[in-house]
Amino acid sequence: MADEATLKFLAMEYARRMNAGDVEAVLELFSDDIVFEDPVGAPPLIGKEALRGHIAWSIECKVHETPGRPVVSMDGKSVAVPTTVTVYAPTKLTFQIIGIIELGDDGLVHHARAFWGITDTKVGDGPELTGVAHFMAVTQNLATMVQAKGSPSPT
Amino acid sequence: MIDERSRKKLILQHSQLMNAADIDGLLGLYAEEVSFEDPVGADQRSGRDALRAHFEEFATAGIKETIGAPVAGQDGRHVLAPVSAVMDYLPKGPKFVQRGWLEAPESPEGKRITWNYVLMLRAGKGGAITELKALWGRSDIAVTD
Repeated sequence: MADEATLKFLAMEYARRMNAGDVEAVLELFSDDIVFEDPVGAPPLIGKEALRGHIAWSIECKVHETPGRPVVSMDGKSVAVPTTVTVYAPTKLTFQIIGIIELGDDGLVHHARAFWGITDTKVGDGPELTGVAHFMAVTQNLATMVQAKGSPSPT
Repeated sequence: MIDERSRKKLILQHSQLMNAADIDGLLGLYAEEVSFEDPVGADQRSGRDALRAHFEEFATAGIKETIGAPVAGQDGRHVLAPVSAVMDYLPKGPKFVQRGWLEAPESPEGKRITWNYVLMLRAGKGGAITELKALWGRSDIAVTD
């Protein structure tokens, strides 16, 4: 059990390390048996090596996280933070998410969940798309992101 | 499974009904079998009667929620939103003090409680809510004038 300030600091620290693009520093926050759900609803990543690939990919997509106000659970195990996540490559996508991370007694993150839906995703800077057009644009751009995975950096 | 927009409407409606102190309307959003945890990590409870009593205390305190933009899980079930709320210190305040969640004010007269939480609802197949969770800790709640 961590104190509340430590939990909130950790949520901010995760965003800071992601924004700094430091894969190893991000991974230091997680346990070896991490269960990472991003988005919730997709099969979770299990273990630090699986997570390493996901974090490295996010950083390659030039991710930037802007966390809002964190809140904690009363048992000192969880912290939740609404966050705006933007990836700038291969195309700009903005996600409104609520992240919830759970700590173990070792002070490391053992479970992380990122809740975001297709309707929480915005493509580029253009006018807001709606309905089927929005759904198609988001899924096509997510597919482009996945295709870019493992290929040389787009820059 | 209900789609993302329906779930977002559901959580916004939940907040509107809470602010209107419409407890019957609020319970109308819920399934027959319900569980709730408010705050997460302290009390897990279940049943519509317990949930009604829980909401009635908030309604008595004149709770007003300001709900932020909801987000939907891609599990077809969850919807979450950040909420800031204010309500009268009574009747909930002394219970919070007893649990060690809040410092007792010198006098409860005219005092209010402000807090921030993340509200998480889980909807069942038909779209009725089966579970409510509210995440907040000691540092997310305060007594104010």
